[in-house]
Amino acid sequence: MVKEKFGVSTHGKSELASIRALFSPAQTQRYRIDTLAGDPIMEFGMQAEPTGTISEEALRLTVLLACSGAISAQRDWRESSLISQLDAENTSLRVENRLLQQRLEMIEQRLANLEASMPKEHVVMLREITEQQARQEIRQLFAGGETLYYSDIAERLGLRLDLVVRICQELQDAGEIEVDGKRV
Amino acid sequence: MAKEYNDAGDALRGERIAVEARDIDKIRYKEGGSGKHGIQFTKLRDSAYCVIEIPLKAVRERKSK
Repeated sequence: MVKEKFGVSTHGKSELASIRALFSPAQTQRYRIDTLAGDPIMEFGMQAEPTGTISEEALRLTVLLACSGAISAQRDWRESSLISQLDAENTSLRVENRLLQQRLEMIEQRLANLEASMPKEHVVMLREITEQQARQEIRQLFAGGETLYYSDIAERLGLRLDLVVRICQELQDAGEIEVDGKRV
Repeated sequence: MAKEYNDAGDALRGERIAVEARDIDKIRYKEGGSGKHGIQFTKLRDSAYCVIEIPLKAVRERKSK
């Protein structure tokens, strides 16, 4: 039984395959090619020369061609299998990505809702002005015809709350401003 | 003139109270109050001042007939 190793180059990579001659009673000698791991690749028959022998060179060439084709086919199958595996993985990742995007959008929405419900803090600069000037500015504010609370005035004019209350009570006593009955 | 309460234990109750202080604690939420949505709670410290708010508007001069 002949057993040889042949180097086969496919797609720029070398692989080895083993070949052995099988028992064959006829003139056609049969051979089997296996991978080095022992997995069968193919079997083929080869016609003996009139001398009854098969030249080593012819055998070697045939084996190389056969191995190259078989290994190439096996590689194609492996590649196509890998492609479908990657395809499935890609689909799964796309689905996962979409779900994560949805969760992110939901979290962003919840965060926006929380921020909207939180009281906004902003700094009001307190001004040091005379009571006379403060009174004048409060009169001007009311001249716009708007209904105002103490806190509105203090915030808009940058005055201390107690000063605003005192001046408003004086203006009320003087009959310049009054309680807005519609808003109470 | 409105009264000003300065004694410890004096309290204010109203629908809308404006507050001012040098330091105001973070607002805390009290669940399970008598109100449906619970209540909020905080403390004012140092020069605290509170007033029950009233809506005010300018008095328009009434034209005599």
